[in-house]
Amino acid sequence: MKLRITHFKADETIPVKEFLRNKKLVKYFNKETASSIVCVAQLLRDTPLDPFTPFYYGMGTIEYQDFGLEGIAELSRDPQSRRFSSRRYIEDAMPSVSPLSQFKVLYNMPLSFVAIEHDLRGDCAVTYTNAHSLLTQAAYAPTEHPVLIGASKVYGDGSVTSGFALIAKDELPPPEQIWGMEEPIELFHYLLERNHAQ
Amino acid sequence: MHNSVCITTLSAISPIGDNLADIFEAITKAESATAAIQSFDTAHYPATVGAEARDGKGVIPSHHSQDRKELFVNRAFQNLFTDHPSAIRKYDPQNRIISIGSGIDYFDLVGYIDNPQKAWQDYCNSATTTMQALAETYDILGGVHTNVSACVASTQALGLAWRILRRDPDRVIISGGFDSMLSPLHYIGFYKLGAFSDASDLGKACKPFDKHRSGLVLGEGAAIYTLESEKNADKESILAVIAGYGSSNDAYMVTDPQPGGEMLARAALEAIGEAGITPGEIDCVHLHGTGTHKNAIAEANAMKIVFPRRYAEIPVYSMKGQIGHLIGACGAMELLGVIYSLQNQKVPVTVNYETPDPEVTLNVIKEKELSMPIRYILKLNSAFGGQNSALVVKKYE
Repeated sequence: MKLRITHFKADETIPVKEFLRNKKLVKYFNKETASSIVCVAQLLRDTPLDPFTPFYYGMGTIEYQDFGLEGIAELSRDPQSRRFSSRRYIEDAMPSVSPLSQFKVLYNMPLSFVAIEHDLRGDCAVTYTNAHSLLTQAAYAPTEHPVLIGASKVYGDGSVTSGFALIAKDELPPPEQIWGMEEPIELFHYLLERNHAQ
Repeated sequence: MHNSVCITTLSAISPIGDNLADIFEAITKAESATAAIQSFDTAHYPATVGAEARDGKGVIPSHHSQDRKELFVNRAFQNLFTDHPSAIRKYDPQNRIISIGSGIDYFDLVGYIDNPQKAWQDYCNSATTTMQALAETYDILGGVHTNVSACVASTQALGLAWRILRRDPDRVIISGGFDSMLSPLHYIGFYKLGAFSDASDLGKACKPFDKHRSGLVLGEGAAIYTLESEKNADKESILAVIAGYGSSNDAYMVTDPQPGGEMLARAALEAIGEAGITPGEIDCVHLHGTGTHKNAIAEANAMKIVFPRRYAEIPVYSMKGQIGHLIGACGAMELLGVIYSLQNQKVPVTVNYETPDPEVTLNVIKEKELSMPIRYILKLNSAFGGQNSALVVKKYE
């Protein structure tokens, strides 16, 4: 198994451009995507992958947003009542919403951009919360070769952790050992600790 | 030797009805459910079209504090357990699993603005929260798997269920999808992508494969199925057999499908291979068919790869002209169309398909349903971001 975990503090610049072939893609990235790109690049630095390696990504619960919700809310308030105004929402707030914002809220974007960067075209899925789901995808992958699994988590304070592993099915932990793990990123901390213990 | 995976019960809340009889009747009549949105105020919106979920009384209403996708899936579960009380309860709770597809968290923008004293997270509702609550209510203790792979989420959820049951036949899996992007924040977010239809005739807003197609229309709803191995299924209740599944990634662009459809074709060929058949045995194809220009080109090219000698002859269908695009639930909802075809031995009319596009030389059925022997159907879906998925569904014999 190859494993990599990266962490960036809230005010830290994620050096994603260093790891991108097409640097123009940065405008589409939220913190999860940028952190995932860096983590996978470091994981696969000397490991060329078969493009049909299955790839599964675990999305964590949403605790952080940076698409401008506060601005949308403020512009959508009626000036007198301070309540939601449909007219203001459309006339004032909507023009402030960037078309790129949708790329920052769709949950399959980290997987999609990592796939583009590393030309991964095989079996894939994005699971939402709970490490068990990510593990199940990997356990039932249509291959006997190692699979790529990953997860990122942006915490409420804006810091972000990513974990990725190239892992064989017989290296996956038994489901009962991770049952109840609510965040997929916890699986990678568990794998790291297990590696250290061995 | 793998186990055969059967669909034995279903429940759906859709833009064309909340029960199978109404939904099948609407497919037969080729009625479109796309219309002006009623469930929230769109008076000042640049677009107003959607395909809202309906019951016998019309569009299902909801308060802004209610996540509509949660409303629909709760009803779907309730109906499933009421109509088929023993289908799932005959299994030990540890062997009951949920594998479901859905979309992004609902956000109650109106509530957040009107009552800003609470944190924004308090106005979110996630698919996982909904599913965990349903698992608790219905004593489903074998695990909850929520797939959020955008427009292939529910097809992939069905695919995972298929993989689990092939290996572990003593499980029962409730699988399918639920989603709604018909709320102020998500509707405008999607509008900003520029993929919406700009047609003025709202009933004809979504025109899959038509020369004059101009974009998609958002739909909403929930469609769930009970999946069992053939050895445990009540043979009388088997609606169809999922015979194969495949998925792939374009790894091309997040905004556009791969124009040549190569990776979509790969997913299709994998599913066909897993089913143990050849492309020549597929009788018709239920395509993704969003109504966008690029989707039709990509799907037509994928069809040329999968069916090099008969891509222009094999009958194809898209349900989205009728029910819109259900995003995280589209594959699951469109599986109803597949079951319709298998049970009635008919390929339905693709609603709003009128003018063939010389760039899309597919045999899209129009005006009148096509009656023909149908044993195997290929079902395709593709996602914003580049993920593809395919199911092969077989008539139970």
